[in-house]
Amino acid sequence: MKFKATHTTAALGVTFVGLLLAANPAFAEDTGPGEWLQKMTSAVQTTDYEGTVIRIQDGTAEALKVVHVVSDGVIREKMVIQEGNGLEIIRNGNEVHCILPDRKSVLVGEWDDQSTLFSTLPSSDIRFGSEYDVSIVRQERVAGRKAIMLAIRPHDDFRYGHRIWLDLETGFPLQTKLVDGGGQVIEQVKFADITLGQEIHASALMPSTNTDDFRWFTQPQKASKSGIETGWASSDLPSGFRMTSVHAEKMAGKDGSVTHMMFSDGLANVSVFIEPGTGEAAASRSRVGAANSYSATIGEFRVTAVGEVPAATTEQIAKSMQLP
Amino acid sequence: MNDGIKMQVSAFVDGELPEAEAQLLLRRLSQDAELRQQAAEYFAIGRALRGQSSVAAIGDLRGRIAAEIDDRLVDEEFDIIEPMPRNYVRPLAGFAIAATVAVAAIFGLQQMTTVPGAGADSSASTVAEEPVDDSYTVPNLEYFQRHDQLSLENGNNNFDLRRVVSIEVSEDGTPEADFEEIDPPQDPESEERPAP
Repeated sequence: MKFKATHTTAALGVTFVGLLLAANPAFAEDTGPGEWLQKMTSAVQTTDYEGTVIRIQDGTAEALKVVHVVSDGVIREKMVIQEGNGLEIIRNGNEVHCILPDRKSVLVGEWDDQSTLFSTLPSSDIRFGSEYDVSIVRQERVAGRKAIMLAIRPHDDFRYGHRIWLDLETGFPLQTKLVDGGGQVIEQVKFADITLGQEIHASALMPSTNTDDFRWFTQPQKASKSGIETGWASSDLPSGFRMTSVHAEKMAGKDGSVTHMMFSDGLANVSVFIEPGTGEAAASRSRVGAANSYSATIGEFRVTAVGEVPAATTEQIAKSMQLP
Repeated sequence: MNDGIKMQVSAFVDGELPEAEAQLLLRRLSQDAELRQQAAEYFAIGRALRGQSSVAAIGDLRGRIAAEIDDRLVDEEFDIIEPMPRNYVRPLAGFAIAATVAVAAIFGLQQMTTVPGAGADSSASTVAEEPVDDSYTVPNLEYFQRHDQLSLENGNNNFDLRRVVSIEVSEDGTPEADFEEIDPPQDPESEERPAP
């Protein structure tokens, strides 16, 4: 009797595991974190989705309604911020209309990325190990769906860590957290509800605001020259960062061009802007979302470092810039 | 988390839960880390969907739970809705820009920031949290924009779910010199009205 009961329990266990594996083939393949990131990249580029996204930062939460369709390689998208000025973004291919209802204005722009929501994501091309470790943590439910949680942990405090919850079935990112060295969440983004891969009616992508009496604007592309030579360099870059490009750019309200250097550790990016002739301005810092900036006067130049890294990192990089 | 707990958390945060029930809720939350996390997330999402931004009450909830268990654990669980320290937030009005209303919409999962001029309609934005620390200043949005743009152009893999767009207009609706006014599109299909 006892044997029979044990046998039945074992059989049920096998059946349960079998059902689990059949229901989640992706998980059954013993997928590694790099493969999950690949799966995520593909899912973001090809999946149609519709849902409500919540972003939580600095004690403030805001909701966005998102509709995203990819058809014949053309992205069509609609995002509406549910509070504040009710900004609405309508995207058809690369052409983007930003509708500002409170200003009765539409700003027309051109973007060439794959998704407004996920403008950039870490990919499996990153060589994790030198500055970050990536690992699979556990399974959880997000937005009513089974998700696999990945952790990207930095080795030091010069950069932020990431937590990503990917849909177990499709690899689509359902939730992300940006985390500092103390475990504090800098920013959290998650779907409160989502439908994936289902047919979305074209009307869902139409503007919900009547723009009949709105004024329309566009912003001319700023002049930018890439691949220029510069004598500027950092004498104290945090480990893992290297310079990836140098541009000369025209910016509003500035007579001369601004030197724009980009540094990256493969995941985090820091821009350094160098402009001449600004006088003896005091050092200053600012923050927009998860990005910090630090400005310092070095000789006769104003140097500003900007990036999605801790404030100490932008400060160190800005202060370390010097001419040979 | 069942509906009963959700209602209790909501009632507590709204200051409407009788003290006896509040004690029971706190005891239960103090003993169940997963429930605390669920309560914190439920509360944050609920606020977002209702368009609310105040989080003062959650501090009370957290503080009372923290009184019973390890403070650090509670901080970690509730950090997603932890307001910034008060001295880190500078009132929006501190950034008056004479005769100009600068509207900067930082969307795609970033906070929207409006810097109103004197007499500007402050309801035009959700919130603008700028640090009160004197070493913090008004951000130069163009730097942030160019940083974002070049990150994308370089195909770098930063993990910032953000796009930045801004348009600056004066109070009479005139755009800043950087923008050009254009005619609306004539193609009816491109701006088709939604069905009523």
